[in-house]
Amino acid sequence: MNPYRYARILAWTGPLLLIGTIIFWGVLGQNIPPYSPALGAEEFAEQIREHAAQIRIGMIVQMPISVMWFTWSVAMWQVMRAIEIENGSNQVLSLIQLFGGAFTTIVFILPCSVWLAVAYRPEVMDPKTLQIMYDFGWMFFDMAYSLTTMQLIAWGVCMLQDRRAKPLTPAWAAWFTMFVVVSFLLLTMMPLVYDGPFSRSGLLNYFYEFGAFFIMWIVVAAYTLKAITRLEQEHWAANAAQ
Amino acid sequence: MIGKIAAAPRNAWLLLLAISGLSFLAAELMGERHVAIVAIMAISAAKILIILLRFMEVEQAPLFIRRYLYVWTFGIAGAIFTLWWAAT
Amino acid sequence: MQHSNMAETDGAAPAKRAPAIWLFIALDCTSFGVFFLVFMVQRLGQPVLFDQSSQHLDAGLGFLNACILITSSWLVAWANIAGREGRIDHARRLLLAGMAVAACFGVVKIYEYYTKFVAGITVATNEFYTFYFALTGIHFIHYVGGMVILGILAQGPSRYMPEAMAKASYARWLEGSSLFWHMVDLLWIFIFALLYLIGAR
Repeated sequence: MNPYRYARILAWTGPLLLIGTIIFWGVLGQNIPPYSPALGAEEFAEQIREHAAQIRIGMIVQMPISVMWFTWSVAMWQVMRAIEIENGSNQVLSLIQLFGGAFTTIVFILPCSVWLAVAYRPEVMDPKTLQIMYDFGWMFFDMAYSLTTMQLIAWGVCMLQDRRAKPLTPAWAAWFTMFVVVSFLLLTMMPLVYDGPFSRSGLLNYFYEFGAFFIMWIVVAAYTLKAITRLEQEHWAANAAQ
Repeated sequence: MIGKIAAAPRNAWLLLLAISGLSFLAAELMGERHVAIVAIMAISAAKILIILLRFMEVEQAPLFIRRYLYVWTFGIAGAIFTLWWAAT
Repeated sequence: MQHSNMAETDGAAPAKRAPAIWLFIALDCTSFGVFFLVFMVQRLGQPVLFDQSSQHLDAGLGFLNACILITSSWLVAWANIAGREGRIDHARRLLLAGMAVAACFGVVKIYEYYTKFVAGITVATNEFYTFYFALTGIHFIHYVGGMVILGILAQGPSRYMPEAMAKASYARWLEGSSLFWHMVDLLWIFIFALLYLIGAR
């Protein structure tokens, strides 16, 4: 029995979700960047009314596909478990990562439902109501960062514990990933300002943070796929020898 | 020259304190702002180099990172001056 | 089955991770570099506001904090050399001294923040102050993290490991942590220049 059965498919759901997120959440959802908190309620409502149809489609797709963050986390869990079993450890890190992945999945889904509600019938809604709902979505999306930080710190630490001469994941990738998710601490500033680089659509808290996050997503996805290939090879080599 | 003076961490420390004082004075007292800002950023870069070389022993670091940190030090100092000047 | 999986495993891997702290330092400096550049770009449109706000900061306190961190950094560098040479007790004393000096940085910073809040200045007062609190705040988080690590190291090598292993591990952690601490000092140099000095007068 191959312990890495399904792992490759699960690992591919990660990059697949990235593409989907860019198209549905990002482009259709009008999130590159999101609407600035500096917009007045009337102006904001006008924007929503103008783009309601595409935002709705974006969120209608983004919500169900977000489950792929969890399936991707399961692939990472399988790789981490292999390392932890070899090290004779208690598999705590892979557990933490898995839960972090599950929680992060909700962090994708719930705000999208809020933004979907905003785009549902904006023509009859009071602009201020639309605005606070939209703000609420972003408060949840941005400020629940520690769930993702926890997930990827556990991953990074586990990758650094790999005792192979050529580790499954190189040290730089583990450190880069952990650095990016710790940098989310910058989001602390987001609820305190209404415009500028630290706002939800600003140069730092949007473009820099999310840009780094997307790069990290690619890095982790690539090394997870490579790791599964190597682990499968190791498994078959070991079992062929018996 | 910095290498010879700051041979030991203690000398590096004294030198750092001394030039910090200089940059503080430059900021507070120098009338000609362009010169003051150049002085402040040059001294900042010098201080960072001293810390990299004498406290952190950056020469033991991987080559790529060492070069990157040198570029970072001068790059940021230079960029700060350039952007300051662009606002005048 | 487990043993044949270990075919590619050997003890060499951990040593190769030594450059890790340097990589972290490079990443952190890059991040701060981006913040510094964004600060200066935001200043382009409003230099008078930025400079006037900067003048409300006490450059003397910023300078004092620079001296405090430089001194603390020196003591920790010294501690690292002692630790490398096996003089653990000497290293621990130097670490404690370094922490004692650095504690003053925290006091000064909290005092500074307090004077701002009392004057009604907060994160949202204007863009300069948003950056002031953000930059010094993130730096402060690094400072606190560094102090915690130094505090743990000041306890000496682990009592739960065989002595030789504990000493080797301690020397490695001391090396990495002192590098991190120097980075905290190094970043303050640019932060001090940006926030307190270039807007002066």
